[in-house]
Amino acid sequence: MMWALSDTWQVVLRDVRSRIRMPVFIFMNLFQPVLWLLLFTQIFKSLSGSVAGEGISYLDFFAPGVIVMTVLFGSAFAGMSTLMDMDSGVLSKMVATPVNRVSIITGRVLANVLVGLVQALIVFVVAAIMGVRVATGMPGVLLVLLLVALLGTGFAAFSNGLALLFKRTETVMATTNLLTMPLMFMSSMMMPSQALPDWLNTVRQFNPVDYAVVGVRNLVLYGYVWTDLWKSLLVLGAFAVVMVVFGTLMFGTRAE
Amino acid sequence: MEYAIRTENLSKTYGKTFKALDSVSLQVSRGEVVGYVGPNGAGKTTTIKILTGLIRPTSGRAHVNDRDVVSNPRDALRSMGALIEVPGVYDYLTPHEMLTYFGRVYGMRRDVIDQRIKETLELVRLPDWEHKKTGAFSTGMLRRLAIAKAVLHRPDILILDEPVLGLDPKGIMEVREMIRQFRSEGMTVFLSSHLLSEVAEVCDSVIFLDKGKVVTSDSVEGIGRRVGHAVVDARFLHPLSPEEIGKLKDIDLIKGVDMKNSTARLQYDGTPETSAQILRLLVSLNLDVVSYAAEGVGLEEYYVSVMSDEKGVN
Repeated sequence: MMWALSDTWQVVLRDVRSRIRMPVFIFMNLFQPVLWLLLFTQIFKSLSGSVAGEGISYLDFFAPGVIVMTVLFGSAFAGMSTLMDMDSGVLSKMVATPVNRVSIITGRVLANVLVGLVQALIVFVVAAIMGVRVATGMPGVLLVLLLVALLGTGFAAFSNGLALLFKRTETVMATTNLLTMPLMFMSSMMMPSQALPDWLNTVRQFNPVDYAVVGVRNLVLYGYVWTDLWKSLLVLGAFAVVMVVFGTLMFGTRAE
Repeated sequence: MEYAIRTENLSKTYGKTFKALDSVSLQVSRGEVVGYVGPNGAGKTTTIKILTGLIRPTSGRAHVNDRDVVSNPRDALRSMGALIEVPGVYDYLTPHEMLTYFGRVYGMRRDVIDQRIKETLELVRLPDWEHKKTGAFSTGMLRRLAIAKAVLHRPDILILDEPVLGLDPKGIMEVREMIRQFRSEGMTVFLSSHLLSEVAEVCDSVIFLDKGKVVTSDSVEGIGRRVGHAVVDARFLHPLSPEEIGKLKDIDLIKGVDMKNSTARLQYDGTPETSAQILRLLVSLNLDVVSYAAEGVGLEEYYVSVMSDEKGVN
């Protein structure tokens, strides 16, 4: 058990180091969420109060969604780097060592989540500079990070599994694009649930992105809404576990 | 532990019908340098991928140091170093960073890793490049770095898949020297190569593979005997006169003479004893021998005679 953890840690360190060496990718992933934060909150500024509730600006309402979006985009495409490593032979070199097979996939996923958390924190800072305040303070920020880490783990593992399943950049890219946008729009990320049509409110019950949005938004805007928070933690935790199992199975059977 | 590497009826089938490996059983003794040769698609890389844990066999077993690579990959791979065909390095990492990672996964202490990085980079003649990004490295340098990675943890078995592929003659010589050094240190080397002259130069024995099956397994001298002759190149100080060539042809131990400038390609029965006797006779004939080297033509002839026609060596 200890050696599996040690192996995972070594893979995390290596993956994070290689990402730090290419900071351009970290900031590229941030560009879109920050743009949404800056532009959308200005475009929909007039909806403040009417959409988000009494005394709540659209910026306050939307910022939690952008934090979730940042981690979603960063993790949903995690499999692309796995494909690149397969093509370049980096993955073969890792597999041909005594390193634990499960650690290779979990290490990569965790490294992706760590980078995603740094990106989420940067968005947090931008939002704070724009005037967003966290109702639950620092403990709330940590819970926010836990929620998005679970979401990121699930999507990064799913993306890695997808990459190993298809082994083609184009297919993985198309499938990921096909999934991420609908998942984002079929949630309460941009509009509150009360403003959504009934069918969308039904669909979002099955959308892990929505559980992250609801959890994060409550912590930022309203404080500890324990029923929602537990539900979010449970659903996102289960999502992460199922996807890590999927990614690991794919690695075991398809990483040839 | 009699054998360093041992496979039993190893098979790998892709799809429903394509057999990349078909019941391959081979043994590599400890401290032996073995050449693994065959045409493209013969199954060499498939075997190496199974031995290094990259793929699973469809059936059969593969053991490294008596450890099953499928059921116990961690222990099997721990005592093995591998150079796999592709470079597999991030071009924005330095050799120090890359090797540190591999040292850690092999469970080496940090101070030992630092020391071994220096030693291995010295060995592969890259000591000044330890902290430079590999993006600027040539193919030969990347290949040497991959060898450094393969021997970093002092494995007692080294698996090399086409180690000189894409290298210039100088690079080929350097790799050949390294393999000789590994052999002198008692390391077992399993070498897959298309270059039969390379195999003849550095290997003790050869395994011929074709269409996923082992065709022959024998010592390099044994292969020479199977062909009926081996070849040694004797280079003289000056081109030989017709009389001197006649004297060479009169030597019973020499089965054929092929002259080119001042070099005579001499066919003989392939035994080291005969080779030594021929050299003594050349000297006794007052011929100024400048160099005397066994060549891999015996392997080439044998290769051509046993391999199927539809595939050819690169």
